[in-house]
Amino acid sequence: MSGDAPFPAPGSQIQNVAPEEAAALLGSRPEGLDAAEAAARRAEVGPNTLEAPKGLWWLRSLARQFTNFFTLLLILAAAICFVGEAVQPGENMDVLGYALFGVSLLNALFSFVQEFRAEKAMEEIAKFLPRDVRVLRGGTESSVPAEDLVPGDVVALREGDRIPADARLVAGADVVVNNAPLTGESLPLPRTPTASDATLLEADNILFAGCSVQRGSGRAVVFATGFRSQFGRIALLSRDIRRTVSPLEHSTAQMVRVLSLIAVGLGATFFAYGVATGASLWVSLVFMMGIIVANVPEGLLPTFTLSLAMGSLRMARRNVLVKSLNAVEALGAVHVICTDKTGTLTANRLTVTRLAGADGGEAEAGPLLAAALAASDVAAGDGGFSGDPLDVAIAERLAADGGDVAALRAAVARDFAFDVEKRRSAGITGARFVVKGAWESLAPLLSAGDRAAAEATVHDLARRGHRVIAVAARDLAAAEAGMDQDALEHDLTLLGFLGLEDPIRPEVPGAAAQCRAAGIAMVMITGDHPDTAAAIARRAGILDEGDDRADRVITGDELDRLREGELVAALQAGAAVFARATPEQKMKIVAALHQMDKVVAVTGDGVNDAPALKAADVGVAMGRTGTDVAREAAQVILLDDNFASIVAGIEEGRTIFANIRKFTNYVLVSNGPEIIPYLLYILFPVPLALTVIQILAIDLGTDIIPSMSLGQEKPDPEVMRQPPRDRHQGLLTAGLIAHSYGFLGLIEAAFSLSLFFWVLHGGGWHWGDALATDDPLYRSATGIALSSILLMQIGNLFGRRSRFGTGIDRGAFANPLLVAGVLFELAASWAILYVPAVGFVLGTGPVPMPVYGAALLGPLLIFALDYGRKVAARRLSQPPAGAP
Amino acid sequence: MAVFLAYDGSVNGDWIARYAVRMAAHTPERVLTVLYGEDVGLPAPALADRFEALTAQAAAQGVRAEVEVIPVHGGVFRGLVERLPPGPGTVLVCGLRVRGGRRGYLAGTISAQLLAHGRFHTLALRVVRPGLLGVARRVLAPVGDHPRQPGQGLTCLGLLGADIRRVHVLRVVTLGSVAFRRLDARRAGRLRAAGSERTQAVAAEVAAALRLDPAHVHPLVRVSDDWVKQVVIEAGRLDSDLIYLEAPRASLARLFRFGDPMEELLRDTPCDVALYRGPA
Repeated sequence: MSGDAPFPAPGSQIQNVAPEEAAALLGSRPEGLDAAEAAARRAEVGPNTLEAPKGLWWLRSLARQFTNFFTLLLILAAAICFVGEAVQPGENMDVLGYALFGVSLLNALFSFVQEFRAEKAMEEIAKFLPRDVRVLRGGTESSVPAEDLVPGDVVALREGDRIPADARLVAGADVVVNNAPLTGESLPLPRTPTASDATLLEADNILFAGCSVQRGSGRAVVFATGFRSQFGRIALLSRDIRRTVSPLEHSTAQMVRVLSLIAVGLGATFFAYGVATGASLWVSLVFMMGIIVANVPEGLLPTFTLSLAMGSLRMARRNVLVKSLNAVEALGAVHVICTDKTGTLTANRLTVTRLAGADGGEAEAGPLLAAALAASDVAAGDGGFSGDPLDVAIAERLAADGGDVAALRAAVARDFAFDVEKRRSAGITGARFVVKGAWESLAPLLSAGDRAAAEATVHDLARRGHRVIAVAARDLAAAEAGMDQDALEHDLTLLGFLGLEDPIRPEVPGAAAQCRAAGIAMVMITGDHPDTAAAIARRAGILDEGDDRADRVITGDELDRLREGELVAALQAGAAVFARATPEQKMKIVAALHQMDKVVAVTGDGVNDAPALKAADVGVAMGRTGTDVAREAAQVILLDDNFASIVAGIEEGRTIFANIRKFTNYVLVSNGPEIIPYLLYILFPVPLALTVIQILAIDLGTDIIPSMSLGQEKPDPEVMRQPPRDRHQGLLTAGLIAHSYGFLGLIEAAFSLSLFFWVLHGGGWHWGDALATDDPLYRSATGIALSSILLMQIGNLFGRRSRFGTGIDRGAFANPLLVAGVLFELAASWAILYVPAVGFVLGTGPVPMPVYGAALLGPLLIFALDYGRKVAARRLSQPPAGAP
Repeated sequence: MAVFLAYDGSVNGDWIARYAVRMAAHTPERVLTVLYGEDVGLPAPALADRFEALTAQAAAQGVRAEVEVIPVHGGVFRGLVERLPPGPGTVLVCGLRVRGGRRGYLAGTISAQLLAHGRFHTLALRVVRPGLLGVARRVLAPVGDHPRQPGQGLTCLGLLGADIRRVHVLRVVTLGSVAFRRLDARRAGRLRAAGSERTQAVAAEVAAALRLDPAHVHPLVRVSDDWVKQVVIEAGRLDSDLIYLEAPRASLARLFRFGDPMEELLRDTPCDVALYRGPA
């Protein structure tokens, strides 16, 4: 230890020691480290930067995108196409293979870009640190790159400087800092070099990295740099906290796993059967591929992406900008919204709404407001008043009541600006000294009076959600006019109280009611007093009117003491308001809600909100008032900062999930008539009714537009009257599989195969006859099988629009894309048979018109049978769980 | 309980010494024996200054610091081992390699040898927040499944105990990265529940050993595919001053499994780190 090292008292940290001891305790001197010492320390503790990880992390991230089921399945489908082309050249399957591979590439790159963006939040945070800093090295002040700072360095800071590292102030006068990036509070905070008894975070002699010097200048000894600073901690959390996997990602992964298992299982079984019954290895392989292709809904995943992208556009029209497609649906799955108060639930505009006398009764507005204005600092401009929001609110109320603000301000002889420590401001108007500020700060200055009545008034106003400002005054003797503020502040007479409110946004109570109807819990997190917070929560609709249960409100201190399990219990018991809480505590609340298996949305706007925004299932940043850091850390940005927009987003998200289920159901139905021809072909001596290219023509061609049209269906009126879906509820349920494969799929298969054999029989085919793939009879038969599937998908399409209704009752022409889908399927069913170029590509041929006429009955048949099922299900009131 | 400090005369050594002084202050004897290997390299006058300062600082905290220059002809490790009385009544505080780089902070150091030696309690420290002055008020204690934990660790933690206001006992249930990516909330809940009972039991032991109100010792269970990253995240989230954990076992197989993650933790830590190991 250096010879002149001081002796800190037991249990002291750097903020607790005398300023002259701080440098020595950090192995430094008042004149700073020398260059060699600084270089050696930098090698030990690393640079003072908040940089993103270097190296090949992005390569790992990119590789990870290619191992998710989404992408793997698409690559598998592409591989199948290439094998198909090798087996049956000339059917253009390689083109489809390239298309599928392209989609898989796009999917992976899209996910990669999302992950890459997380680093952007880090970049935004790093911008809060200065590039260069004035530092004492060997007694000489010089400018060095901020990244070269090390513990023990003595930095010189001036007004306007950004603070480069956590440092202990050791010298300086009138230093005032703005800690908003760290705490979210933009109030100026005075700093002093003297020792403090407080903790590191609360000490008034500590300067924090990322914050700024608003006034004054001084010297400080660095004690924590880079990620070891408090600001670095936020950066580290913003970088390292991983977002939870969205419910949709889980659902689709589960669906893909199930479908892959079915496909591969069936394929392998029939491959083994083929080999065992004497079929050639090559033929068995082809059939295995056919069965796999038939089972895999190749077009489903691109349709997912398109549907989510279109959903995000609809959300943007409702002021909800979605940065990550998964968040589109995740918003719909939200169980709990943890929301800030100011600006989100409230208008972020203070208004004087109550004027109370010293005894608690109504005060006369004019004199009380005029007195308060004398202790305010406000200026009138073209766009209204400017100044501190509180002072502006007073001026606005006075002007609204007919007061002459300009004249009253002109009469003010002296201003005493708001003092953060004193928590009051003052002014002299005429021969009167007026003080306004927090009651606690004014009470000791009052002459004797009925304090109990005043205390009761303060409590009552706070309980009703008001911010309370006391106003007091006394008449001055002529000799007192030039005295300073401290000398004047005595024997004041309480004039009354101003009750101010940040009014609730008008849309909020309605949105909160919608949340309640939709089974979504709301949690308000605010720095306000518990009484005020509870009152605002009541007005917003988060708490019931008259709900005074103490366990509904938890303070920040209580939250800090609660263990995670205890917090879970408190939330389960109904805690919904966190008062005097800090943004850092949001993470603890999110962790507890995750323990409860809840999907959580969190709002935030500050730098220190970034970790919570990443820890949540859906991080929601404010578009107007939010920092760039918060916007980069979030998945969703509210363009109007309005709570009601979150609820609108939830409605869209729920609709999107419902629509995804509809088109998943729709797409899986065609798997039935795609699979069964292969089973028949391997089991019986009959021609193959559907080729691989024809299956892909359905999955990647004709089904796409109808699927997308289901993705565009409007919200069901019931969508916000149902509880949120269980986090574990998959997309692919047993009911949905049974309905798709076992009911509608079988109907489509039976009808299309009937037409297939009708054409074969009419053309002279006999049981057991083999037909060449270019035989006109075979081409016609396989053509009508394909055509009839397309036509029946029209009936299936309308049926999927409604769970119990006809589907047409939702307006046959209400969804233009659906009309386009129907027309496309009709045109395709015709072209397959009667347009030679299409027939050449797909290996199909024409059939007599009566046969095509019979095929046109297919959609009516499937629609009628499905509607019959719906009627029966509705009557039984127990519809299949999976059916939409 | 006898507290020893392996001191090298460096600035980093001074920062580590603050922890040693705090620990000695919490023993009945209030004595800190400072061991300095002869021929370590500091010029005699500078060394005398540092010893004097250290002794004075210890005295300011009511601790008598006794400096001993020990022979290190067979190496510093052997010199220390020969000097230190074996058994649970001995606590040695030492530092890790100051500059990690490719060699790492722990691998191949004398501290690693001392931790592996297992004849007395060893506490190896990496100090990255010297402003704490050796006073850790919020401690994060990651624990594993081994029944030995936290028993041996309580000795050193107990000596830091009077300064501690909050302890978070963290159990990270680790999964493979593929399994973790497929982990649904229900299974995660089951895994957390499975780890919860033991973590609570450890928390109760820690509270009793530190004579802390049990409400100030919080058990936490997390599921992750990256143990180090989770510990770093929790240390940041909980605003921990010190990560306190058992040193990895020194066998080759263990080093392959745990060696690198430990180096990663020591490199990426947002706060001071203490590795402990008690007598076998």
